[in-house]
Amino acid sequence: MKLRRTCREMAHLVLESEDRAILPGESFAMRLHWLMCLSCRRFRDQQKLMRVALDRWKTYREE
Amino acid sequence: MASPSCFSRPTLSLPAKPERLSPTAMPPIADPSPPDFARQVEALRPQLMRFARSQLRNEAWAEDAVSDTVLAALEKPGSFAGQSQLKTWLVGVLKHKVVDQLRRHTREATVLSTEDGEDLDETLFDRTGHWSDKPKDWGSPEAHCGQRQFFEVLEVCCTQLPATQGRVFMMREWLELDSDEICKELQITPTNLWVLLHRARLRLRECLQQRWFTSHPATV
Repeated sequence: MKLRRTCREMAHLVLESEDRAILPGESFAMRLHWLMCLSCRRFRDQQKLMRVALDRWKTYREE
Repeated sequence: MASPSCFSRPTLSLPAKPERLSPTAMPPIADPSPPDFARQVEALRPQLMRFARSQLRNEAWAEDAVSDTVLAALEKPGSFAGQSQLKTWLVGVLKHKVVDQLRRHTREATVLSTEDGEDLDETLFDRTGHWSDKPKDWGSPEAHCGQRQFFEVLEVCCTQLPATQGRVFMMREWLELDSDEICKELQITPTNLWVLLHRARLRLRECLQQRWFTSHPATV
């Protein structure tokens, strides 16, 4: 399980984490990358915001 | 309250008790007499149609799904303690009917095609895998998710996804089907599914950036 990930690989992993469990090795590599990369932290936070928004939107639509 | 027999999924359940609202806030109680009840159900048809249309993108299929749903409700006058309970139940039934329609028509719907347009992946990263178009700071969820306009933009962005991506995305996010169910419905592999969801999420993100976050930057 490789430790160094490119930003592109990181983006893939963040998106995949919506639909599957992330393995411990992947999780560690991701946390390491985030320590050093502002852009990837922002992408992660963008996805978190989208997650919150979509979850709330589901409720909204039924009103 | 009688439990509807048309459900095929054991997980779906109705609220056990009527909602607790103050008498002044309570919407009019659904009159158990059939003509009034039928009128109340029909009054909800436009909203049900809007939802069915967004899922199925086919007017005839949407009409079938909504008609089946309305019929299911009309069989049970007097089962609902309030208008919003009726609506919740109708939406629940409609979701199942939509899945039925998809099941019936899937051959026509599918799969991976060039309609998805350019792969955003290519434009976001350079050859070495670094960001070429760096993500912006969107700020906190609370700053945006309290605004109705934001959700209107979100909805527009979801409906503007390319057809196959949009269908898969809505089955996942709105109908809350799991991966196996979606793959079975659309007859695609898990890998196909992940590619489609991946593209849909990137495209949605792009749309939100253009239509909302550019004009609503994070305030420090």
